[in-house]
Amino acid sequence: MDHEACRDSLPLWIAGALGPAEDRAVHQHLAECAACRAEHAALAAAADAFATAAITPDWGDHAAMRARFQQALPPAAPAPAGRGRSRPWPVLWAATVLVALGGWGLAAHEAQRASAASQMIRLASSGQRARLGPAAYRASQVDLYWQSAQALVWVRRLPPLASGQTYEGWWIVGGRPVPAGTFGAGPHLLARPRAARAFAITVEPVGGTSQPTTPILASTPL
Amino acid sequence: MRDPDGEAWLARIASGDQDAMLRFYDRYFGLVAGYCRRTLPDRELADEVIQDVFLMVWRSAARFDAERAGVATWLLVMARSRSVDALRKTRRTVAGESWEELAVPVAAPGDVAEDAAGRLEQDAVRHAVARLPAHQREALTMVYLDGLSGQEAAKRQQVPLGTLKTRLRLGLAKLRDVLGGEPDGS
Repeated sequence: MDHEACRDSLPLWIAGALGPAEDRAVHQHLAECAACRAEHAALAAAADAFATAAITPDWGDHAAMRARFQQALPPAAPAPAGRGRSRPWPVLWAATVLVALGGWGLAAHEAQRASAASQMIRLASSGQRARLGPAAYRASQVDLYWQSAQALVWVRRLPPLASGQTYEGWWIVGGRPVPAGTFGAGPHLLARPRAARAFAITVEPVGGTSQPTTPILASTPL
Repeated sequence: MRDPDGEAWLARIASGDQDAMLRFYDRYFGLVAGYCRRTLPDRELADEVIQDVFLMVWRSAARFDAERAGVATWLLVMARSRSVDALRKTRRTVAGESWEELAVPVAAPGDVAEDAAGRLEQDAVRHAVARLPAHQREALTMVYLDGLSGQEAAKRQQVPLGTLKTRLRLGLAKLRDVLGGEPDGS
């Protein structure tokens, strides 16, 4: 197979939509040709982007289905590929019963976590969004999503915290800062006062303060 | 649009890491559910297939071949296969939808882990897809969403296989350019 024939066949090869002989020929050519491998990598990324963009995501019942899925997961490692080994149903059933009887606290925690994840997903997918503008920390990367009385602050980059410090969020209501909660890196849910007109972040002692005591790291109007 | 996180999670899932499995579930639930619920007419059946797809991921993550396709393409191949199996069992028909129905108005990516850059990139891809010539868009849809073989898609478009291949390649090349790849030049 020459380069041109290989490149023409790549879109179908990526989809696994070639016959066995041509599939093998493409595979063999790619193993020997760096230029076609580069072409393949780019086209595979494009195919993935097409597949993702063409499907309207549906997050309905995510939290409940996730909880059921987690419960059905076998507790140990999956069988090695190709062997087809699976746990007998009685073992799965016993594991489920053990979780139900002994894992009350764990199950409640997981349900709470799944619920929080579901809220985060809803806010990130359908809420309004703003990237906080840097103030005292120029390299800050923080996104705020909000909808009605809920908000999601997602700290991607802020200056590292020293021991005993935390980030604290502030809603600006009537021109005054109102504590929004303390958090670290990553996504965190917050309650949002409907009258809030801006959001800002400072570094404060662990536990938070009632008024900001350090310069604003990043902020955004709402 | 490669997903290094997804590929890394699959490697961990293959060694039995449940935490990685749940992260993967959270990342890709929206995509799999979006596909299954539009393809299968029965919501209950669709939800069974969604769970089945992720159980397949758990059991066969080691078979994921990052050298061939991306995570989303691989997942949709499994989702399509399980949906077809489910339809055969129920002897119901697939609900057909055109790209136009799929494309507007498309919800923003719902995954918490999706960052703003990814969101903008996906919007750009959607716009690029909408601007593709209809025959290229249809060819991509038939192969990547409907699961047709090259021969089947060529027959459906009433063109030689070589023409279909060219349409697919040109269509993907235009999307690649949107993603920041080198212009195709063909």
